Amino acid sequence: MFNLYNYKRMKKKWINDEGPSRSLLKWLRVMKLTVLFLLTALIHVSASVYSQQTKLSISLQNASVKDVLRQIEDQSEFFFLYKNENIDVGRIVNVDIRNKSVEYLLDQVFKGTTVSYEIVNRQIVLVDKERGNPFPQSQQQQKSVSGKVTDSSGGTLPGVSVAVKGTANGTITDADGNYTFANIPGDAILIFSFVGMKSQEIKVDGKSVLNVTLKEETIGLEEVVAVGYGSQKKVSLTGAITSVNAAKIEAIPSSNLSNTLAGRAPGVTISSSSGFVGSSSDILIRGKGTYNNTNPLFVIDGVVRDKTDFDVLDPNEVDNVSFLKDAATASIYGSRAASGVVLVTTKKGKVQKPVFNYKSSFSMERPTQPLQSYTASEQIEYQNDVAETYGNPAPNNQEIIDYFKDKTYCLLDYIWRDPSSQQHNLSVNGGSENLTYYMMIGYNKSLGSFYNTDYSRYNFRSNVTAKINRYLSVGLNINGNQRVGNRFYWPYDDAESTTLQDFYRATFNWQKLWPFYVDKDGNPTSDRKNGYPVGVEGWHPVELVFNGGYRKAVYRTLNSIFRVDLKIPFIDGLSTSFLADYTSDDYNGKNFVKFNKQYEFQSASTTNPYLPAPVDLTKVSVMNLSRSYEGIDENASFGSSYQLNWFLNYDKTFGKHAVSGMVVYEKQGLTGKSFGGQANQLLSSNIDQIFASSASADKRWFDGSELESARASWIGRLHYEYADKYIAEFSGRYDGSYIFPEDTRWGFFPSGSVAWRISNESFFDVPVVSNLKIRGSIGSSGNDNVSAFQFQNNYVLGNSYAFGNGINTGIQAGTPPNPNITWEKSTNYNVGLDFGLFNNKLTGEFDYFYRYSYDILKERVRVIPGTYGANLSAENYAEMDVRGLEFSLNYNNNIGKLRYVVGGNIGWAKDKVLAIDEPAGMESWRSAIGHPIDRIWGYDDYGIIRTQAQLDAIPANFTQWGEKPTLGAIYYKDIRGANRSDGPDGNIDANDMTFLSDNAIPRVNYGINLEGEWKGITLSLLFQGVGAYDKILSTKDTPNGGVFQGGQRPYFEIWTNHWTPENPNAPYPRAATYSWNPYGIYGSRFWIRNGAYLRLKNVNLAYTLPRTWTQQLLIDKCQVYVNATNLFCISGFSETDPEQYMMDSYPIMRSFTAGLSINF
Amino acid sequence: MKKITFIISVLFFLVFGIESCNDDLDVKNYSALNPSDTWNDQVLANAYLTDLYSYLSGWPINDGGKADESDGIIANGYVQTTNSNFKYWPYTAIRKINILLDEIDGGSLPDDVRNKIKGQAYFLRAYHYFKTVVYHGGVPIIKKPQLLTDDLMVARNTTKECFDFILSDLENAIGVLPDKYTGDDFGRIDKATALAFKGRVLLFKASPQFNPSNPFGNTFWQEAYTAAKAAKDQLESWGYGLVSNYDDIFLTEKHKEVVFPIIYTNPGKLNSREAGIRPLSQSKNATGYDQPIWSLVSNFPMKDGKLPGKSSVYTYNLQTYWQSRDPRFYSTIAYNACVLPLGVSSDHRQYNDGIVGNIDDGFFQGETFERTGFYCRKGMDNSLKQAEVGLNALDWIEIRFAEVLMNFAEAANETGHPAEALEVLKKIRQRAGIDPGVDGMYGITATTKEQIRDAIHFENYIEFAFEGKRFWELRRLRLLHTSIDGTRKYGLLATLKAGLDPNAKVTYLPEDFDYAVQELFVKSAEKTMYTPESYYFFPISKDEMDKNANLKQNAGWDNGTFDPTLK
Repeated sequence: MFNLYNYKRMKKKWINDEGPSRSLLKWLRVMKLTVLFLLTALIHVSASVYSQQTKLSISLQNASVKDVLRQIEDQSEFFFLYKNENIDVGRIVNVDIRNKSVEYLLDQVFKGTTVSYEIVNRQIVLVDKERGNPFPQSQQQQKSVSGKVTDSSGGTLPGVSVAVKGTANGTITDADGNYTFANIPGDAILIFSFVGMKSQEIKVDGKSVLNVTLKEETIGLEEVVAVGYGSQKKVSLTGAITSVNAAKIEAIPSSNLSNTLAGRAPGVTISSSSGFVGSSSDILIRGKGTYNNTNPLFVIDGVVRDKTDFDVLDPNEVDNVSFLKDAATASIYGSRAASGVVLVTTKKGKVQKPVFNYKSSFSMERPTQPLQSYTASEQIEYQNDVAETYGNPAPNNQEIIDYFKDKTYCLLDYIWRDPSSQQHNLSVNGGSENLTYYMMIGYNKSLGSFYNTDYSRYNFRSNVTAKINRYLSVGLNINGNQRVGNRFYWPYDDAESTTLQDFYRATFNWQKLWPFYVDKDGNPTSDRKNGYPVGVEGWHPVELVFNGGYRKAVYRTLNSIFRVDLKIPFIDGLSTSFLADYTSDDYNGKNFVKFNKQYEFQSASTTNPYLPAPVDLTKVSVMNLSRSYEGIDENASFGSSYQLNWFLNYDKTFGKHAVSGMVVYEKQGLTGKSFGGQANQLLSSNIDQIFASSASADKRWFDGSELESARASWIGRLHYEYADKYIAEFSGRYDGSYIFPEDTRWGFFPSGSVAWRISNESFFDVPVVSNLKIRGSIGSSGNDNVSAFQFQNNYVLGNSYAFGNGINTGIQAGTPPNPNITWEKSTNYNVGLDFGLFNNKLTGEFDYFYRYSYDILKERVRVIPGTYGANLSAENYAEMDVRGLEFSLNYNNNIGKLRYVVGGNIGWAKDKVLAIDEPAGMESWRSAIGHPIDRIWGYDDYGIIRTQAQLDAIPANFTQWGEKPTLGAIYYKDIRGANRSDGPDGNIDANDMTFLSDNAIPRVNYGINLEGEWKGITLSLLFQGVGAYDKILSTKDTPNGGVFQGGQRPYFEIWTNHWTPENPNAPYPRAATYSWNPYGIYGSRFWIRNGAYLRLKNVNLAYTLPRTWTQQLLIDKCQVYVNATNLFCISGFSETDPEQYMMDSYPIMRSFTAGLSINF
Repeated sequence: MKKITFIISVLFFLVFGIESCNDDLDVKNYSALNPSDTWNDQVLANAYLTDLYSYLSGWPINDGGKADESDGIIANGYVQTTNSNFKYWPYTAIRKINILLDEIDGGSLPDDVRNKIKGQAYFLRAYHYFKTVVYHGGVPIIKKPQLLTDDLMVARNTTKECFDFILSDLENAIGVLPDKYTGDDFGRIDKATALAFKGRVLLFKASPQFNPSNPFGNTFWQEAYTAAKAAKDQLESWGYGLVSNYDDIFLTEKHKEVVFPIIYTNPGKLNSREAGIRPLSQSKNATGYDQPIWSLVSNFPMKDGKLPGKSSVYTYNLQTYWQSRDPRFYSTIAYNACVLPLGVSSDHRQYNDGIVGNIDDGFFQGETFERTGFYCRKGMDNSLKQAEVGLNALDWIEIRFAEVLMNFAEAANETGHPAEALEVLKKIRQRAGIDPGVDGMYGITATTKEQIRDAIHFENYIEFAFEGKRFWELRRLRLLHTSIDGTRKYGLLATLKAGLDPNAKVTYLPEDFDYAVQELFVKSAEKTMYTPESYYFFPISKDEMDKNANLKQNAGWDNGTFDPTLK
C-alpha cells in the first residue's frame, strides 16, 4: 500500500470518460427526455486528455515547496505523489512565472536538488534519487489487466465501476461482470465500487488477470448522522436518534412528507386520520408531555421551520430525516425541544459527473373500506323500522316498496370519483471539487375524490456549494414551493379542512329516494346540463359541486440559506461558520360564494310522494350557504422570518483523545401580516370578480392583523472520546424568547450524556458481538409554545355594540397578566443499548426513557371561583411524566444472489398527570391525577336488551333519561344519582357518566420492514401498527363517542343490521331518530372497540432494467416500480378503517402507484 | 489571508453588531392597548363601556318553551347542580364593570363625561345582579375587581343585601344619567331606562317568589307602586307612550314605546332569529324557534276581548279558530294557510300541514322536525327574501312602555288602587284593537283584587307573548308548580278536506282544512313539563360550590341551607 502523507484522491474523477461527440448525442437525448428543465445553470466541463499544453501562472515569495505544489494542484488537474520523508517540501523557494508549462515550473523549483519528476497523465511523481526511489516498481511499466467481478455467491456483477487509483482512468463491468484495462502501471491500484457493496482496493502487482469478489456492505457503523448543529458518527452517539433515509420514502406518493414516515421510527407516533388530498399526519415523539402543544420542533437544514414547511418538502429533495428523542440530542434546541426535534437535511451536490434523474409516478386511490352503499329499498325499510320503534304507522306502503324495487338514486355516482395523483421530478447532482450542486424541480398534482377538488404542489431547490480555497467554502441553498388547493365552496368545513367532515357526512349517506334531476316532463334524468335540479333537502349537492362557487388557496414559500464555512488557518481543528436564513411566505385564499339553487320536488301522486311530476318553475329553493349575498372573499397573509447563526467549531484528536466542541450564537425573528375582506352582492352569479360586487360600502368589509416575534440563543457542546471506548458529551443552550417577560425570558437547558463502547475493550472478546455500546443521558428542555404576552397588562379588542344606527367598537380588559410566566420544563432521562451481532448483520437498539415535565402552563380555572370574573393567564404549575420503551432490530444478509433486510421497531409510551388544579370539593373519582391526559368518558353499559326475559329482569322503576327501557335499547349502568350523588337512583342521566379507559390514544406503535433484492429486483414491505388503544366510535355530532342516527341520515352501514324482534342478535341497537337517547347516540362502553391494528402500510416493487438494454438509450440506470399503500389491515375495528377520524369523516385511502426513475 | 480576516469580521458584525440581543426580544404586541390611556381618552373610555353593553341579551329565543307559549319540554332532571341549565353567574361582566368604576376616577376625563359613563356602568351592574338574584337569590356581592391575592373564597350575601345593592346602583345611575338619549346615542341607558328598570326590580322584590309567606300583603308592594308610578309619570312627561298600532311595536323602530332597546343594525349586528322563526321552506340554516303551541293560540281573546266561547258576539269553533280574534292574534301567530309574504309575494300563503305545504314545514304524524302547526309572526320581517333571512335587523325592546304601565297596574292593584290598574288594562286593550264593548271595558270583567290580578297576568300572557316574560312571571308569582308542572303540549293538526287534491295547483284557504288538537310529536321520552316548587330558586352550580367552601347552596338543592327569600 502507498502510505503517502500527501496522497490526494482524484480531483476530477470521471468514470467512463466520454468524448465530446458522445456528449452531444447524449444531450439530444436529455432534451428529449426532460423538455422542461433549464440547464443553463449547469456547466458541463468535458474532460479530455490532459495535455502538456496546460499553462500555469504562479507568483510566490518565500513559499515552501509544498505551497507551490498546492498552487499547481489548485490551478490545474495535476496532483502530486511523493513520500514525505523522501522530498523536502518545507524548503523555501521563490517562484514567479506566467503562462508556463508545468515542466518549466518544476524545473525551476527543483533546480539544484536531486529531485526528479515524472508526469503520467495528470499524475506527477516526485522522486529524490539520492534518498532512493520510494516506488520500487517503475511507473513506466505498462500492463493490460482484465478480470471478472462477482458477488459473494458467485454471481457476476454488471455495472461495477473500476477505477485506477490516482488517475482519471476508469471503466465499468459489462453484463457478464468483465472489465479490461489496456495500459496501466504495473503497480496501479484498482478501486472496485458498487452500490450496496463494500468498495475494494486491489493492487495489480503485475498480474494481468484480476478477479474480484465484492462483499455486501454492512450498513450502519460508519454512518454519519445529523445531530443538532452538526453531525456525528453513529458510533459516537450518546443519545437517542432515529434516522430515516430518504431513499426509503422517495417512491411513496404523497402530498405531505409526514404521511410517508409512519412505522419507520420507534417512539415516534405518526397518525393520519384522513385520506383527502393535501392531508397530512400528526407527529408525536415519545408521548404527550404537556397539555399544550405537543408538536416537535422542526429544523430543516439547520433552520427552525414549522410543520407545514416540513410537510411540503418533496420526498425527493430530502436526504435524511432524523428524530431527536432524548435530552442528549434534543436539549440543544432548549426551550422548544420538550416534545422532541425533527431534523431534516436536504440533498447536496456530490463530487461526481452530473447525474440527471427524472422520476415520474402515477397513482390511483380507493377507500380502504367500501363506501356506504345501500339501496332505496333498504332505506324505506329502515324508515319503516324507525316508525315501528315509535309505534307509528309505517310511512312507506307497498306501492312505494314496489316502486323502488328497480330504482335507487345514488349521490356519489354524481360527485365521487376515484382520486388520482401524479408526481414528476427532475434533478441533477454533480460537481467538481470546487463546486458541487444539486438542483431539483418537482411537481405533484392530486385530484380529490369529489369532483372539483384538487391539490398541486411545485417544489424547487438549488443547493450549490463553492469551495473557494482550502479554507473557505460558501454555499447557497435556495428552495421554494407553491401549493394550490382548489375545491368547491362549502363554508361549513374549515376552509382548508382535510377531513372535510361536514361535507362528507352530509353526502356519504345521502338519501336514495329522490332523483337529482328531472326533465321537463318530470322524468328522472342524469343529464346535469339540460335537466332541472330537484330535491327536498335544503340544498343540492350535485349543483354545489358542479355549478357552485369555489375556494382557491395558494401558498408560496421561498427560503434561502446562505452558509460560509471557514477553517481558521492558524489553529488546526478550529473552524467557524456563518449561516443566514431568510424565508418569505405568502398566502392567498379566495372564495367565490355562489348560492345553491334547485326546484322543489313535485310529486305526481298522493299515495307515493316519491313519484316525480314536472317541476313548478316558481318553486325555487335557494341555499344561501349562510350568506345574505353572493360575493367574493379574499384573504391574504405575508410573512417573513430570518435566522442568523454564528458557529465556532473545534475538532481535534490528540493520540487517544478526541475532542470536539462548538459554540453557536443564534438569532431569529419573524414578522407577519394578514388581512382579508369581503365584497358582496354580485352583479351576476357568473362573475367571480370584486369589481362586479356592490359599490355600497356596507356590502364590503375589511380586516387585518400583524405580529412579530424574536428569539436569541447561545448554544454550546463539548464532546470527548477516549480510545473510541469512552464517550462523554455535554451540551447547553441559553435561550431567550419574546414570549416571556424580561426577568424570565432567559433560561438555561443543559444536558449530559455518556456512552461506553464495550466491544472496543480489549477484555471484551465475544466474536459474535461486533458492536456493543451502552449509553445514558440526562438533560432538560423546555416548551414555550404558548400564547405570547401573557405577562402584559393590556386592554384588547372587545365586543362591539350598536347605538343609534351604527355599530361601535368595544375594548376590554385583557386576561389579568401573569408577570412570572416562563417556559415549561422537562427533565429527560434515557438509557440505551446499541448492539451489532455477526459482523453487524444483526443490529439493534434499545431505549428506556423517563420524562418529567413541570412548570407546565395551565390556567387554574378549576380552583379559582367564578366570582373572580376573569379568564386566567396560564401559570407554571402543572406536572406530568411520560415513560416508555423503544426497541428496534435489523438483520441484513443474503441467500445466494438474494440480499435481504428484516427489521422491526416498537415503541411504548404512556403519560401521567402528576399535578393539576382540582377543586377541593371535587369527587375523587373525577380526578385527573395519576391518569394520562387522553381518556374516554361516557356511560358504562350492559349491552343491548335483546329479549323480553332480559327486559323483565330490569327493575320496574328503572328509567333511562326518564323513560322505561325497551327491547333493542342499550341498557346502561346506573352508578350515580341526581347532582352526581353516589349510588344508583333508578334513572340514567348525565350523572352516570364516568371514565371508561385510559388508552384513548395508542400507547404502542410498531413497524416491521422487509426488503429483498435479487438481480435488480427490489421488493420492500412495511407493516405498521398500533396497540394498547381503545377507540370509541364517534361522529361529528357526537365527538365524544356514540353514533348519530337520524331518520333522514342513518349511518347506514351500521343500521342495516340493527335490532328488530326478528333479528334479536343484531350488533346494533334499534332504529331510531336523532334525539332518542337509549339507542346509541351517547358515548358508552358499547361503542368502544379495540383500536389496535396491523396494516401493510407500504409495498414497493422495483426493477432496475439491465444496463445492457438501457445503454442503447444512453440511460445509465432505469428503474420501474410499483407501489401500494394501505393494501390491507388487520383489526378488530370493523365499522371504518381504524385510523379514520370518525364514522362520518373522510375515509382513509389505499393507493396504487406506478413509477419510473431514470438516471442519465 | 487578509480576505479571510475581513470576511470573519463582516460576518461577526452581521450576527452581533446590528442590535444588542435583549432589545431584540422586546417585540411589539400589535393587538394591545395601554390600560392607562383608556381613562384619559373619552373615545377609549366609551369603547370600554361599549363592550360592557354587549353582555345584554337580545331576542329571547325559545324562552316561551319553558312555559306555555311555545314547544319544548322542561323534563324531570332538567335543572341539576351538575349541569348548566338555569345558571346565571355573570361575574365576568361584573368584573369588567368594577374595573371601570374602580379606575375611571383616576383618569382625566371631564366630570360630565365620566359621570355619564359611570351612570351607565352602575345600571349594567344592577342589571346583572338583579338577573342573578332572580335566578338564585342572594349571591356574593363583588364591588371591586379582585386581585388573585385577595381572599377569593367569598360567601353569599343575603337576598335583601343584594336588592339593596341593586337599588343603590340604580339610584347612582338615576342621579347622573340624562333623561333621554337620542340620535347616535339612542339605545344607551338613560334615566328613563333606569326608572323603568327600577320599577321592574321592585315588582319582583315584592312578588311571591321572594315572599312566599306573605305574597301579596308585604310592604314591598308599596315600594313597587311608588317606583312604578314615578317611572310611568316621568316617562309620560318625556313623551313615552303606546304606539297606536300593535304591529308597529316590533316592525318599526325608535318609537315612543321603546324604553330599553337592544339595537340591531345592518351591517354590524344582525338578528339570527328570523331564520329560526320562519318555516324551513323559506328559511336557511336554522329552524324551530318560538313555535306557538295550542295553549297560547287558544287563549287569545275574541275580538271583543272575551275568551273564546265566552263571547256573545263572536262565536268560537275549533274549525274556524282563526276567525274574529283579538287583533294581536294576527300579529303574533302565523297559522295554517294564512297570508304570510315571507319575501315570496304579498299574497303568499303558508301551509303548515306538510302535504299541501312543504314537508319540512308541516305538523303531522311522521314529521321529521318538531313542529306545532304554527309559526311566530312577532318580529318576523316579511320583506326579506329566502336568501336574506340573515339580514333581519329589527331592534329588540327589552323594556317597552307597555311593561311600565303593566308593572304599575300590578303594583297599583296590590296597594289598593284598582281603578288605576283597570285604566291601564283598558289602555292596553284599546291599543290592541279590541272592541270597546257597550260598557267601554274592552271585555274586562274583573272587579275584585284577585280578579284584577288575574286579568293583569292574563293580559301580560297575550300582550307580551314571545317577549321572554311568561316563564319568569309565573315563577315570580309562584304559579309554575300549579299551572305548568305536569302539563303536556299540543299543536293543531291541519288536514286538507276530503275530496280536495293536494297536488292541484290551487290556492287553499284555512277553511279548506279540517283541524284537530294533537299532542306534539316529541320524539324523546320528555313529554311532561316538570316545574316543581324548588325551581323558584335555581341552585348554584356544583362546580362553583366545589371551588369555594364558603358558598352555601340554596335550600332544596343538595341539602343546601341558604334561604334565598326575603324573610
